[in-house]
Amino acid sequence: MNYRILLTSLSLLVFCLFCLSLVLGRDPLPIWQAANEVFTDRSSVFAIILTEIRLPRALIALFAGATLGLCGAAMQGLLRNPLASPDLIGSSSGAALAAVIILYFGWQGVSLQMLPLSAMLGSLLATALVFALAGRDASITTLILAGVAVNALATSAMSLLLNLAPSPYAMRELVLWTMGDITDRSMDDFWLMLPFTLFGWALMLGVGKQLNALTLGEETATSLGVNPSWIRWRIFIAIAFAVGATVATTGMIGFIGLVVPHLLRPLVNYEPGRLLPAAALGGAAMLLAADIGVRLIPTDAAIKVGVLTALVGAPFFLYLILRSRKEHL
Amino acid sequence: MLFSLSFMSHTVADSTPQRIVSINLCADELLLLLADPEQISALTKLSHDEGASYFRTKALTYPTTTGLAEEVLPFKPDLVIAGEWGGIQTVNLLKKLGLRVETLPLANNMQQVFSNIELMAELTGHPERGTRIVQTMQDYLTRLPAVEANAPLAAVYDPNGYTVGPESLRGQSMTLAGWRNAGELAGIRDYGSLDLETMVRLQPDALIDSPYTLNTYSRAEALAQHPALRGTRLNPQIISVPSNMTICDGPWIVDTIASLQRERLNLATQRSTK
Repeated sequence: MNYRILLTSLSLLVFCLFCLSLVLGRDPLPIWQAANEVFTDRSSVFAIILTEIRLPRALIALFAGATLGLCGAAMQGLLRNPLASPDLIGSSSGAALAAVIILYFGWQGVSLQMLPLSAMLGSLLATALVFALAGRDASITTLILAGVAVNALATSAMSLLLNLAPSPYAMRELVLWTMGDITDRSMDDFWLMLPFTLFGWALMLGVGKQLNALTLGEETATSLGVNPSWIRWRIFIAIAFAVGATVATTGMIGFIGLVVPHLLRPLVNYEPGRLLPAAALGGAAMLLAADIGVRLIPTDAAIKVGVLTALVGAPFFLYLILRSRKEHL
Repeated sequence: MLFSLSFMSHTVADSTPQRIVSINLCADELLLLLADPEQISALTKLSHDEGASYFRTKALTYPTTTGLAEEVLPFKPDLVIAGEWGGIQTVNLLKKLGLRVETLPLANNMQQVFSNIELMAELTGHPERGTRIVQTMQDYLTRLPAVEANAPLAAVYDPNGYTVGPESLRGQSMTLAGWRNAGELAGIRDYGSLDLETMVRLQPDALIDSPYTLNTYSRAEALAQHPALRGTRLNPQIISVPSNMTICDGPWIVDTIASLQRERLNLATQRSTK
């Protein structure tokens, strides 16, 4: 498929889903009235629901989804391993651990920004720990091992806190946080997440060509002027910031970073460089769609969006595996 | 992004709220107990649930929400009451939008039940109702006899052996009803779990469960069928307290204590006639 057509249609899809995300909810919003009131009577309930509840939710889904898709594609391109996902370098579990610590000790009441800022810090610390463990010129295997070790450490610390949770209610809150959710975030949460996310994205600019070169093997890539160690750190730092900001705002949302790049790879002729923007758009579309899905599924306890992406993502992944097996036969 | 929200401003801080929305089940129950009916705008969906809501019949006349900010806002509440745990993001968002949000803490002992009732009475503008209810409860509790040294032993036994120690409300109500708490003997302070081995060792005279769905095969019953327990002389009596009396705290805790006390006296007569 023509690359330009692909990007255009993905953008259109994201735009439509974004608009739907503003309109749809548990109770439908009279969108024209709401939009009208945004300009005339900003204190009306509909205007507030539109601008202060649904808009941040849609924006966060857009940016978080794009980050997950982009970082998943970058990670799979860098490691040349289809199972790589952005969680691999510890930033997700670091952020989740920090959030669980804050919730456990009840510090979230100290200030409204306490939770996201701490999660951000946890994400950066976890990635820094992976860097320190692996060393500056680490091989990819060492890096993956360091990432797995830090992930295991963070997960076990989280389990310990859940185990010691002061009451069943506290435990429930801790567990739910790790499931990934975008309900009832505010514009403040979005503004807090935005600079870190954009910094991460900016670091990814221009990485695509070098990833293309890397597909020829590290030695060939080096002879083409690519510094594998430099590009590795660059992508890692980008992921630490962007994914860290995402997890700090939404909790852990799985499978988007893993599935979306696979889904789009055949459409960009398996070129990692071209996959990056496509996967970002695809990730945004998938998270927006999943977040619309959780609002429309009429359950008493709202389904967490991370649960839905995993539920839809896992069978899809199985299908991809079966299909790729058939192609190789 | 900040703008003034005319309907949300409350000019006098201590004026009586007229449009209260609760996004916590336990706050629902205390509101139904203490507020004037017309002060309540909306309750939680759980307040209409038989297994969870003590004042279900009263609650049925009110609209419900699942506790999302966009559901709460249309009621234009002048007071939102949330629980201590759950919905942190929603609480933060509602506060940011300029609403008055108060939090109802979780009660782990009788004193906190009293202070929760007083807090809600204060928030709804009827402090005298709270004082009266707390006074009645206290009068009842002071008349209860002290626990005897050879008092029968009971364990709270919820799914997966979940049990309580002395620093929990259910643990305290057991003791007040004259039982000794097996959870306490097992070294549990507030919440924990009892394994089979401890049960066999401690041989409780009764298991107290609180099944959410009535007339189903409960974990306590299943446990009593375990060979390890059938092999011993242990034949614990199973006392079921309705779940809508244990999920939230309120004046009905006195009824729970009374029924636990009755069961203890029954057990004593059964044993003496054997």
